[in-house]
Amino acid sequence: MLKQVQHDRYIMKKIWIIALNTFLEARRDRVLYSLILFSVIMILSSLVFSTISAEQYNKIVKDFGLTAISLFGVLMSIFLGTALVYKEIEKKTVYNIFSKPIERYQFVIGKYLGLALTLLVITLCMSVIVFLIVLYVELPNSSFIKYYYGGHYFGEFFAAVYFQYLEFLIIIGIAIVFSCFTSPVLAILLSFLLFAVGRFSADIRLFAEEVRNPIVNYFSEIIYRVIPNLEKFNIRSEAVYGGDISLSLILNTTVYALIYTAVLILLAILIFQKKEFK
Amino acid sequence: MLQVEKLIKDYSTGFFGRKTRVLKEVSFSVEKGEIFGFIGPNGAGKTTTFKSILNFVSITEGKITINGKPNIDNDLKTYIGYLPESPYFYDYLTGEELLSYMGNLHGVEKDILRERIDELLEKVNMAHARKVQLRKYSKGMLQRIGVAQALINDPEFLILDEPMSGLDPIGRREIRDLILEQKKKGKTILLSSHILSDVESLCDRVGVILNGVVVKVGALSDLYREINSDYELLLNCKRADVDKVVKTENISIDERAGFIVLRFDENKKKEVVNKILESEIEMISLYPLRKSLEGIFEEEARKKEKIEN
Repeated sequence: MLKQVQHDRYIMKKIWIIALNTFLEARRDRVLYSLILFSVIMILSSLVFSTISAEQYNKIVKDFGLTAISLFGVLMSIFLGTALVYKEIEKKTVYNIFSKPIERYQFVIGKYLGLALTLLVITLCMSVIVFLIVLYVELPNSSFIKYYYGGHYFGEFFAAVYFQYLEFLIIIGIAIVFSCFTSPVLAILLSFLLFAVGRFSADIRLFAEEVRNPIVNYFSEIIYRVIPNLEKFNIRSEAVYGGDISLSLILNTTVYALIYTAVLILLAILIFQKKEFK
Repeated sequence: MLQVEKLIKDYSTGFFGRKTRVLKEVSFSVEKGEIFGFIGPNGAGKTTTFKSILNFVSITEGKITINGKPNIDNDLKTYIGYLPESPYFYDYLTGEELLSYMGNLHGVEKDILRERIDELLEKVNMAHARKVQLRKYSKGMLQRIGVAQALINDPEFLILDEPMSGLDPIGRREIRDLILEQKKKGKTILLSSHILSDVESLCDRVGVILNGVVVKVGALSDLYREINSDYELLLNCKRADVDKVVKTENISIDERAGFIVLRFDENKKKEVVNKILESEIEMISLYPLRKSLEGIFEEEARKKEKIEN
């Protein structure tokens, strides 16, 4: 029993070592910094609207901020995710990894977790920046209590950020699957395609219902069932204008995201397991 | 230590997965405590053999065992150190970070790892560049850090793919000393090379691979013995003196930098040398003209062709 526990801990440790190295790689990636810089500029550009009333302004900042987090988070997930495994094969660094006692599934999970950790840190940083801007604008003309009860929906704001992060988890999963068997350019295209279909899958289904063509209906149904419905993770309007975000919604969405992510990682492992490092 | 039996490897290439046979028949074994050189020209299948041993690629047919266990047993890698051919590493890591990462993947304990990193960096003369990112390393520096990472787990069995490539003469000597030191410690070493002089002073036995087939396994001296080598005899005398002493049929005579150089084959060696010693001619040196590795390969290929025909 004790041996089993030690063995499990040993396996987890290896995964964690790979994850931390992936995180370190992202931290030293210049492309990432330019993306972060762009997103901060986008968030700050909302200051242009600071001449209008503070209440309206806060809504704009939040909306802008959440959109920036979403846009750049998706870009980072896809760009970094599609290179995640491919780069190691292409640069032949896999030889260094797999000459050590590392299983292939440990590598895939480690790479995934490393990027998930990177995105977590970035998402947190960006949301804190947005939050601070809102506070900064409100501070001169409002009491402290009002931030929490004055219709700013900070709870909703952070719930929206959390949902957004769940979406990133799925997108990284999609990217890593493609990263296991195709070149980054194709992987990026396919990931964007799947992302777009995921964002519009409910609309595609609605459209198919209007068309009333059995073949179109059939395919839209497959798309709706197989491809994750990424619109589920969009609660931006609730965060900006207020709305009911129940605990059960949070739980359901979390489980939905985790199941999809697990399936995607499993798929990536199955593909990677068969890979020959020529 | 290592047994490779009738290894065959096919690669699928192109869109339709057309099969190319890269390894046709590879059989050899490496005994515990020896240095085994795997030699062959570029593209003969040395690296593919190593990749098969380390389970980077699946084998089409045949059997590979390490310490009696099939090579797909991942736990075996705890005892193996591997240096890839022209090593590629994470260029965003520093030398020290790379060694730490590789050691952690091996599960080396923290305190031991720290000590070993210091020790290895000293040993491969890279202590000065420990905090420098690998993207700034030269080819030779990468090779050195590659050797260091192969030793990070103090492995029982070292697999080094072209360990001397990219190194200057001093670097080569250092790596050779390092390999010999590992042998002294009782470690087993399998290394590949396409440069014969790298392996001749190092290996107990060699395997020669040609076009995906291991054509010969044995001590390098046996290999040399089998191939008749020419000799050069350097004499300090005049041309006419030589003519007086030895019959010049089957001997080529040259003048080089004021010396007379006789060139003959193994069969003539004894006769010519004895005659010269008996005469008054001053003998400067006698040395075998080793055939280059390519020469040996060509000869082996010719022999093989003859057998096949």
